[in-house]
Amino acid sequence: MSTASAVADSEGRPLDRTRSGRWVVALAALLSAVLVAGAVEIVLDAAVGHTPPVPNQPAFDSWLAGFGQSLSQSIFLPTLVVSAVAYGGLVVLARSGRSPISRRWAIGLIAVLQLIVFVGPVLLATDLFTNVAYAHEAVHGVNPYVHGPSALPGYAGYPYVSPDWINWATPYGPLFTLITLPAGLVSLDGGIWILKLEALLASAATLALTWRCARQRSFDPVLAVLIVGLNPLYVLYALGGSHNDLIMMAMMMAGVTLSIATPATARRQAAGGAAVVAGVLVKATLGVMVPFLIVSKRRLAPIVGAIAALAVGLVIGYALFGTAGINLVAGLKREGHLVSSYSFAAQLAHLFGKAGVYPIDHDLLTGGLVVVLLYLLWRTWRGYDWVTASGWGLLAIAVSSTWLMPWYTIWPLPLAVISRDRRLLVATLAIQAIWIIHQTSPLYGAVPTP
Amino acid sequence: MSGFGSTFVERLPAWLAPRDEDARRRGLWRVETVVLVLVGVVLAVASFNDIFWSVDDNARLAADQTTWRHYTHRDYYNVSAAALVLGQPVDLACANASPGPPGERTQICLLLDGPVVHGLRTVIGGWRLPARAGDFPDERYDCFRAGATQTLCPKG
Repeated sequence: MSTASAVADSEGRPLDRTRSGRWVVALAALLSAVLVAGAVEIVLDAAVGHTPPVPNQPAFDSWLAGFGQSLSQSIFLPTLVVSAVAYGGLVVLARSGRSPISRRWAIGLIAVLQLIVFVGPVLLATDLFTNVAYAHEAVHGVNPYVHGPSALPGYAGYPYVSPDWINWATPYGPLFTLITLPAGLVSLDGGIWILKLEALLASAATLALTWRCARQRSFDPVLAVLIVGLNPLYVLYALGGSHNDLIMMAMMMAGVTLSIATPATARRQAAGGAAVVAGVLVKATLGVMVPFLIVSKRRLAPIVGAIAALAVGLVIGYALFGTAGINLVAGLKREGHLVSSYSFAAQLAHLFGKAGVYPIDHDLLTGGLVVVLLYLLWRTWRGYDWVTASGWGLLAIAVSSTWLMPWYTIWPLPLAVISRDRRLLVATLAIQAIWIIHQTSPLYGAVPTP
Repeated sequence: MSGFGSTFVERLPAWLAPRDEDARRRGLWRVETVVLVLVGVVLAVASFNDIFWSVDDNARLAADQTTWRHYTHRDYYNVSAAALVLGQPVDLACANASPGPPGERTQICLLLDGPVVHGLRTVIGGWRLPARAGDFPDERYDCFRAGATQTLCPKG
């Protein structure tokens, strides 16, 4: 029978040097290697060219081409599943009492994964190209809140914008359009890199703030950032597609950090409210968080901060883009009428024998969402943690959305890892697991998978 | 009931058990958890149903592609196949009549119905489309059998 040595790691945690302890270290190393190998495989294969998981895009990272093979669904989907299993294994190991994953290991692994995806091609969505087009519109005097990218004459990035969005005005808030303006001042390739860098920095900020909140709430910060930063939907979909959800989440976590900081000074509370509203000015979805913050705190400071930030944002939005630029819900309402095959609403419609989602179903889903949000508000009023309630609210929006995109399911994740109600984390990861399994359906068919 | 509930809550692993103020409201916590589990089960069933649905569709669409190649005596890889009306068994399979990039040549489209027998389905009609044209009724010509209706082929 072996005995554990008293050696500690750099953070003072005792190192388990028993035989089973060495197996745990080896398993954690193997799972980490699987995650890195999966990301490398996807990035190198994606660099070969356009396939269903890889949108048509300019060759801004052509030095990566030539190392892989074309990224077909039959390569991407199994790699996604294997990455998800490795992620799950690492999370289980990290939350066990004998976790071998040190702070350095966790941060290093997250950084490596995110940098691999950062240097690679744009994955799984054309949104980045649409956002670069909106930036070019704004810079060249075309109001992106009135006109879609098709209004931009001779724009080089036109072929890379999805036909679905070519005539649509931007659905995002004026702060996001302001943040992306530099992408409109440079070439198409330069614009792509700017938005990729913004997404990477937003991801780093989200993770750093998640770490800080976890410590503030006496949770293991290593486990918290592992759960968020290694999540395959976070890394491959949100960061891989450079979605602005990462910027919204960074502001969300800034708001939470300031709001739960001690001592809870009026200035911090006001700044917390302002940060959350800044996130709303990026993407209006985060508006769901504001009532929970206000109901929970019941202080004037967060309300003043939120109103001040909203006023500044709307004045700037109006000055730059007119009345269309301050209509924060127009984009949400428009997307609310769309239906994605990814959505649970579409799957439920099929389950009940319907060909798809009908207008009455939209109304039912909206009604159900309102009931859930009102219940959460009542619970928050009675003392339930507002951070957790906000996470449930964001998860409810994602699940009930007929326009569900995979990266929407990461919204509640940073809140779930700092929540004392572990059901939120279990529910968020379960929804993601169900979604990933659903994604694999092309692998089981008799039709050759492209 | 409450005894069973309390025991159930107490048996949960520490990391999943209710904390803080939730511990004082175990009845509410239990009801919420039951609702969450039920919602999760319904979503999981809907997802798996969708997978089986698409697998069935995939098998049918594979038979559509094989039937197109068999019927037209053309062994092309790029044969598009999809339901003519979502949720109904009649499919439309289209591909180039001569070699070339997808949609860049005159296309032959076939309407297919019925069960898959020996890997093939029944051709019940069809039409041709000009090169680089979408499958819109006004573009269809040389319509035959079930395809030759005023609705599907207004130009005949």
